[in-house]
Amino acid sequence: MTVRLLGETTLDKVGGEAEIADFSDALLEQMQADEPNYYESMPHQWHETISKGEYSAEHLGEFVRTAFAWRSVQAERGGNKTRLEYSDILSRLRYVPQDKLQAVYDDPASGGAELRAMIDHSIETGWLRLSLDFYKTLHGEADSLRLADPRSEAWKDPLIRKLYGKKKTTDLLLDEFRSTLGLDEYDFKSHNDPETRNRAQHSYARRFLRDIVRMPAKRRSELMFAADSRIHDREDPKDIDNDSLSTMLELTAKNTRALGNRALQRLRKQAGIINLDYRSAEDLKLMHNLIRGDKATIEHLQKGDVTVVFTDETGDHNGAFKEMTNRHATPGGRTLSFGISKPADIYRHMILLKKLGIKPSTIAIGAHGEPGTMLIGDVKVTNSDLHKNSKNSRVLSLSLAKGLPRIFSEFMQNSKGIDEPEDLKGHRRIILNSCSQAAPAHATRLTYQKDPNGKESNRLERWGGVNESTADTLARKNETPNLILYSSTEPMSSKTTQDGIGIEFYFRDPGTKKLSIPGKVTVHSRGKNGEVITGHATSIPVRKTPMPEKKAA
Amino acid sequence: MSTEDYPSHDLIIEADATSEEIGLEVETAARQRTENMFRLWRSHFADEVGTIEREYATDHGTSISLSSASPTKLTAAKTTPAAITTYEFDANSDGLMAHHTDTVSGETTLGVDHVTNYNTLARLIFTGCEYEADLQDGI
Repeated sequence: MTVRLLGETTLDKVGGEAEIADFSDALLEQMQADEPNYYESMPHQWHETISKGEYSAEHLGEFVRTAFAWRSVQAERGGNKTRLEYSDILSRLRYVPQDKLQAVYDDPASGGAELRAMIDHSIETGWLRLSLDFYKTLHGEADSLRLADPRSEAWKDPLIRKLYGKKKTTDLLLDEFRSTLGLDEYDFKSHNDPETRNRAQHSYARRFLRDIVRMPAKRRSELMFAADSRIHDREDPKDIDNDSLSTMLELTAKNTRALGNRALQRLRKQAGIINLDYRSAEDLKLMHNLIRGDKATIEHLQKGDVTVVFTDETGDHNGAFKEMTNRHATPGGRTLSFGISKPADIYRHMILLKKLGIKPSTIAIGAHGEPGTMLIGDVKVTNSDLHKNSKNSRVLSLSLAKGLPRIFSEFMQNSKGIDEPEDLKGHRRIILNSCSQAAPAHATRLTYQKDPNGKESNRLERWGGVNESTADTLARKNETPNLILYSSTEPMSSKTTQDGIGIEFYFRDPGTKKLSIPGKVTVHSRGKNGEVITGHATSIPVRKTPMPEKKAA
Repeated sequence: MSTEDYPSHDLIIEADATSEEIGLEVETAARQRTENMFRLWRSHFADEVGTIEREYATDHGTSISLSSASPTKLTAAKTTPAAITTYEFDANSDGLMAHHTDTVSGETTLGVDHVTNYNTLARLIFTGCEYEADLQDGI
């Protein structure tokens, strides 16, 4: 029997206590074959008892000390040739009931000192995956990791905190990861050249998402593409801002721990969610319960006023929609947050809701815009009627979007005044959280030309279309008398009102160029005779009472 | 219909009211995004800029090829079973350009979807970089 056997036994293949017995047999045989004299005093009986489940903390301590000593001997003899690492030993111990493991850990005389040394070694040598598994074991609410809920948030094991003096296990994990990479804490200043620094930051983020978050490759790539422009420095867009990068990564890690990658994979597929840092763990859990058809969740939603927030997941170049779900939250917890990467996603998500028997009274759309156009992912939604809409079009006509009036009339319902303010009762609402959707525009196109010398230039042409805003177009197409449409005439940002119950728009200050001046909200509705009425408001009501402190925007 | 000439680096969406500034905001963001992605591409292959040619097969039957003849020019092509779409990125002194032609249908929406061209090109560059990076990481 060779040492390689142990190293090649993967975690996935380790099955439980019976495996521990096998492992112990193999270990003992190897130890004895390697160094019979040294292990002469090895207690042979302990691994027999472990297979019967009759082992005690004392037995475990014996095992730990033996393995530790054996590994030390191997190290002295040029142990880098052997693939047995402390992490391997720790990974086997994860199947041991926590109370017995804890007893070993707490008693230095029973192998506790060795166990701690193994943990240190595992961290120092960067055996991250194995170490993390072991942390879970230490926490384990059930008897073993297999029985414990891997999505449990309760990682903050007091044992680890005591040992490492950290307030949060997250801190420990991040430190461990940085240590593994040989990087200081998000410190890339040593790279003077911006391109080298950018590359290091990208590499760091990728490895973080891969090794800490364990995000599948495709979702990793999607997230990094979606986040790339918003993590760049606003003042110097060529540079990545470390604070933005670290915030994005840590929120993503936190939410992944809360839900697990399997649930997030489902949320990506069915709810379009890519930006995990745009939503709280509670928001994501609500969405997960929704898409898996949880009866209690659906009943809860049906009892009140549901708000649906759509945020552009891949086109948010400056992170403008990061707080959008939070701003539309209600104390009753009936705000749903979907991700959209193309306009058709809106239909897709609304169809899902209809199938589940949920009709929202408010839809808020977060997407960047300019007069006459809203951008969703790689697709332009324009008020021009000169484009033929097709599945693969990257320019879509709002005028020709036949499904929108149906969304308003058949897929939504009037507010009940339960979660939303009383005076909204009997109305349904669309909120365009998008620059300039109330500003009229002509359709234009840009063409390229070459002069006789081969020099290229751009030519901008007005080429027809309508002279109305996208909000005008939507209001004109709407067939539902009690629909209210909110939009902005100018570039805007939004904030929660000071009283905490609504949202207000902010326009650009001509002096500072910042979006800091309170602006009016343009409101489209229908008059008694069905005519479109345009008015203004200072804010958009969202909820009856402010959110509790935790959820305040 | 009115026509006006603009310098090649002014990618203005014409509109009423305060639209000059508004249009530039989105265009500039998309252009900056593409520039950043191009820089990412160059940083990944810094030693090879000048004769870069890469092809990537994705899991959707799409292949992406990226090639660069100089540090300021990049051509990206996305090939699906139905169409081949090519994009050109030129960061020379005359400004930045991105356009696409569909070689199968012959249809072109040149200029009309200018912003989305930038975004699509950025996505192609990024996908290529990430794919390569993953290979380098041994995934």
